[in-house]
Amino acid sequence: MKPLIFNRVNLLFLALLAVVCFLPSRREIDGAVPYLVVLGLSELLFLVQYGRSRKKSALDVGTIAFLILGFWDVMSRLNLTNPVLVPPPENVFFVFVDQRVLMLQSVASSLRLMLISVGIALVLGVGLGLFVGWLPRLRGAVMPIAHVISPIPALVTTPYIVAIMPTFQAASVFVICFSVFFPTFQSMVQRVASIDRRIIQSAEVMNVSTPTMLFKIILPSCLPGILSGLTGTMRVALLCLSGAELLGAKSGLGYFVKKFSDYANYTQVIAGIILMGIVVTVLTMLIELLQRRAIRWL
Amino acid sequence: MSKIEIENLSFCYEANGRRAAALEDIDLRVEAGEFLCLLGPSGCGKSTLLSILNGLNRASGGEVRIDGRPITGPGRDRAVVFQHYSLFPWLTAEKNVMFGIEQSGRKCSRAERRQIADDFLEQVGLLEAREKYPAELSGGMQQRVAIARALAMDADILLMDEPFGAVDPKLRLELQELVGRLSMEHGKTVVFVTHDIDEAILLADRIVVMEPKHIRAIETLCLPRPRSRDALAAQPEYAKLRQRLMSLFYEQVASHIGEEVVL
Repeated sequence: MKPLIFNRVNLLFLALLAVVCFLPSRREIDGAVPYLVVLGLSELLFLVQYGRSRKKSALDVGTIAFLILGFWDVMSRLNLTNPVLVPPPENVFFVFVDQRVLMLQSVASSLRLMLISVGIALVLGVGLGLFVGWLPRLRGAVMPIAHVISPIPALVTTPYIVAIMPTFQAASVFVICFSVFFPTFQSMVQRVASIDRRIIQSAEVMNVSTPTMLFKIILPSCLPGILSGLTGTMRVALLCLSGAELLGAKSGLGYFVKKFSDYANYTQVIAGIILMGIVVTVLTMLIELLQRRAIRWL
Repeated sequence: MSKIEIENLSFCYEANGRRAAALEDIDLRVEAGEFLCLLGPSGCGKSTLLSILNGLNRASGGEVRIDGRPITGPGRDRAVVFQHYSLFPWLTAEKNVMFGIEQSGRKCSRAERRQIADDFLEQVGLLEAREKYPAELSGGMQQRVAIARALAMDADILLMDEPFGAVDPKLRLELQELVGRLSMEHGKTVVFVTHDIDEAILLADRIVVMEPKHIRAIETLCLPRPRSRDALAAQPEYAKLRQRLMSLFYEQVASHIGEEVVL
């Protein structure tokens, strides 16, 4: 058994603590506590992961994470970087305390818009894909048109959509729907068209009705594909959402970053970017959980 | 009137832009409660014939009637067991059987369906596996569930397309005896496609030996059903019958191979 305590990650952790305690910063510090909490949480996460699996990858990931933090911290303490462009980590993580209300509002606002629009796009994409994929005539008629419209990057339409839509909310919903709908729709059509013939045949000889075929046979057999596409879908949606928020929003994660970068407050900007990373990670984990729950039969 | 009447049936398919016949001039009657085996090498059209009976393919010419009515597609009077494991992977064994019962159009509550499903799973010896998904079951077990589903659908006719072709040889015997017994108990009319002579002898009232496109011969077996393989081996008739079928089967395979060599 490899030691849980005596390894290079824990050594790096101690070194980082020593840097915080004994290497005085030449910059103005808002408060070191949030940074120390982040260090502590990272160490705890490592201990849990490594304690459970003893995988080399946990060691490597921990090492890289602490090396990056340490490099950033030491450069900043020794004043080797531009203080405006590369603020000290203490200040960046202090933003999570200082701006917590605005941050929570931004996350809530972005998530709300994203859930609404991804929800609409998924229902439309999967629903229409189901019918179009199942009916060859409809497929022949619709797919050539879809192939022309779908490669247009949704982001390109954003300025125009923001201009013509009554509210920013409506515009973002439209842009995200546009960006999520086509990939969902096209891959759904593909999945339905290439579904295992043997499953279709065993349903056909049972004389199933068309609704039963679509919703009780084809839809569940496409479910693993739909769910595994969800991570990508979510990323595309987030990309479009933050793009739209950068342009014209009054709330949301993109707005948070934009608002502070307009005043060159890069401490808040970096914190906003990190927050975005956390949101994406949590969403990805939730989707993976959903996949494991929903497809126990594979 | 016979249960199934096949008259002057033909079936053509398109291949490379040309029409090719898979079946020609097939005449056959299957009586109610009869166990009929279609025996022949691969490519002789026996599975095509079954696919017309189950409604997945339409006859190009002639007519197929069940209880006097021409068939127009799949129907509730027929239940099918395929060679490939045809269970729905997202449903448990029990739910798969329940789905079949639901499709059979019987008016019954969910609890009753569950009851019937469990009853048939018990008959194939898989009651304790009812909560399992098909991926958790072996091929032989999946085929048992498929048989339970077909029986639970309460159709008069059971159509089986080489149902044990992909099953482990040891389990195959067990499943053959199971089908022989259960089809008897439930009074099913069975059309069973196989390329296994011993399987046909074990199960059938009549064996239809097929050659490409046509019926070559029909053998009637007078041995009482259900049969066990051990009891069969003691019958003097068995060896003669087997010999006759072997020569029919292989003579035809040999001529077929000869044809291909010449071509």
